Amino acid sequence: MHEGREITEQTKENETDGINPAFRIFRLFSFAPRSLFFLAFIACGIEGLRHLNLHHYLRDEPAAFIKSLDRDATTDGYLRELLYVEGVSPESLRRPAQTLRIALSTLPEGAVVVVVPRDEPKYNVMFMTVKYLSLPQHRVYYLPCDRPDRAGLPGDEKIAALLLYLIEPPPGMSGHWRVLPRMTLRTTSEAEAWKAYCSQ
Amino acid sequence: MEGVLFAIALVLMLVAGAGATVLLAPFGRRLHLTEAVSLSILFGAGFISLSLFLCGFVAGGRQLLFAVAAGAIALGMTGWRGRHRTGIARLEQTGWIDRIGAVVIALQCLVVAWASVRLALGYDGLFIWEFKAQLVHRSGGRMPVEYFGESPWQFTHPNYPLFLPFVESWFYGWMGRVEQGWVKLVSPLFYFAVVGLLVSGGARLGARRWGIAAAMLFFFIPWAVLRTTAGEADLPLAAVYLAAALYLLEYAKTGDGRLPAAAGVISALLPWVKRDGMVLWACLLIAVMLLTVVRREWRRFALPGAVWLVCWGVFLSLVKANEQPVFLPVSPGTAAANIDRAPIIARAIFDEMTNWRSWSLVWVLPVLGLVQVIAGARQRRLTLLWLLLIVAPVTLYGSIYIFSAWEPFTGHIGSSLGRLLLHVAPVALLGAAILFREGRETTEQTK
Repeated sequence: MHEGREITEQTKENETDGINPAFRIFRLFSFAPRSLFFLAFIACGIEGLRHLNLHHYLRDEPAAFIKSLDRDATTDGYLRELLYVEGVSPESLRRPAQTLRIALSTLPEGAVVVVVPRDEPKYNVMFMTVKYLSLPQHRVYYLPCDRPDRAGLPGDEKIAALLLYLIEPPPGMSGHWRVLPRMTLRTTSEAEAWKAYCSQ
Repeated sequence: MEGVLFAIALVLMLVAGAGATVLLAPFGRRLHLTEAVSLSILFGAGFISLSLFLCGFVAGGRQLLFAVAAGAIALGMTGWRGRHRTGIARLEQTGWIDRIGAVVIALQCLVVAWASVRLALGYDGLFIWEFKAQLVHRSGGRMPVEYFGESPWQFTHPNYPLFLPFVESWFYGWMGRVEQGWVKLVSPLFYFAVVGLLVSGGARLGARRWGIAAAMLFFFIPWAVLRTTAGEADLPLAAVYLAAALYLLEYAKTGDGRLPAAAGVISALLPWVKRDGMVLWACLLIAVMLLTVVRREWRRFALPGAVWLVCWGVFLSLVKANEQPVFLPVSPGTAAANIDRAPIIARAIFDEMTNWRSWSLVWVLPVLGLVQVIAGARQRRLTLLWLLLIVAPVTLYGSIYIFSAWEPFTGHIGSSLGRLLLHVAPVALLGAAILFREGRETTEQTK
């Protein structure tokens, strides 16, 4: 490339006179590798972009675009995606973030403990989403049944409710409120109440 | 209605940014339109975020919002009055190739904006940056001091800089509530800034067409498109780094002594955008010191960033900001104990850079630059500086993992390396304008 440029510069003067038959050939040689790089860059880029599957989003335009500007667009998306993995159809969920936010806002003052079956990243994302939607009222703790120590619940923390995710309440136990599919809320002030659900 | 309010907030931000651009540009320097718009986005976001942060100590709510808006208008008007200081010129379009390039870049920007709206914010984009913005909005436009201490929001890293949260909260303030949908349009603004800087960067470095080509190629870095849609602070950081690096490269080319100071003002934003910005600022400082060691112009570069770093450090210590234990103590002892990580880190960086699906061929450019330097190319100084601005941050970023407290530390690499490399990728792409410059293309007169 450097050599090509040097040649280009050397022949520049002649080019302006318009009498250099070799110039075009030299220029072609200096131009070709750069063009090749340019095209290869685009080809690799297209291959990568293809894997982003952006073209799939074109199917339901323009309605989906307008829907994506909704005030809960991202948290709705997270909840739909997380619940879809657990077998819940996204179409069955209407404004899940708002539903969850309203449910959390009706709780008495105190902490909410999100109880999940195991310590897994996808359950942690659900906990984070709940934590986000609880803003600014509640302190929210993550309690996986296989690692309850992760919750780090302070001894003096006042509990407002348990949010059971993918944990069905034992039969006959009352006081539960299904907020979303696979998600049950139970108001309680007992710090140890989660044990009854994790020991099932 | 939300769209109108979003537009008002955006226009106010750009007005402030345009004023700051005119006032901070070296006297008499002609700016390209794309460069002016890009700098307006960066300075506008910087002005809004800093004003909200600083004025938030004495005001809140609507008072704060209108005070900052008045400041933005005043800054814009001051810039308008001082417009004789600089001229704004359209980038010269000499042929149909340029025009096609401009159309393609505009279409790419639209696709990125569309994709940003359609995709959800990323994990960090939502749970760190937007979460902070929501806290700021709910606290009347200011970050409550309790947030930095023992608050339930430790996972949002209270000691992280607040550039992006304040910018997002500015839009929330005007819209009157948290809007996860509209806020997704903030990140593409910084994509536009990068693209505009690449276009003008090509012209500044004497390869106008390769500048346009570099701007087009930025779209073909899939990782850059993906991270734009994620709403994180990495792309704004990359845009600011590119702007500062561009001014330094131009300084190396033209020797215009006013440029290091201008680069210094721009780079002062780096530590305010993201903590990693301190590393980038340090790399720029090293580059300026090497360039201006005799003339001591590096002092004018260093001053704004150093002042801000001290102020931010003092603020964090005053509010007793909590830091999550991500790193081990940085000491020779730790380095010696973990030196066996070095080959693993180097391998991870190599694997990431050669992941064509994420980066396309962007990292081939520094290799070509190295070959040119070894082969004794002309403009060696410029090429060496450009290489330094890529290699130094990547090396420093890589060495940080030696002090990682993660177990295993490879998890830390996997979760952050790609984002760190994004900070440098636009500068690497700018190399197309340095390496592929033809003799026939002339340098723009920068006066």
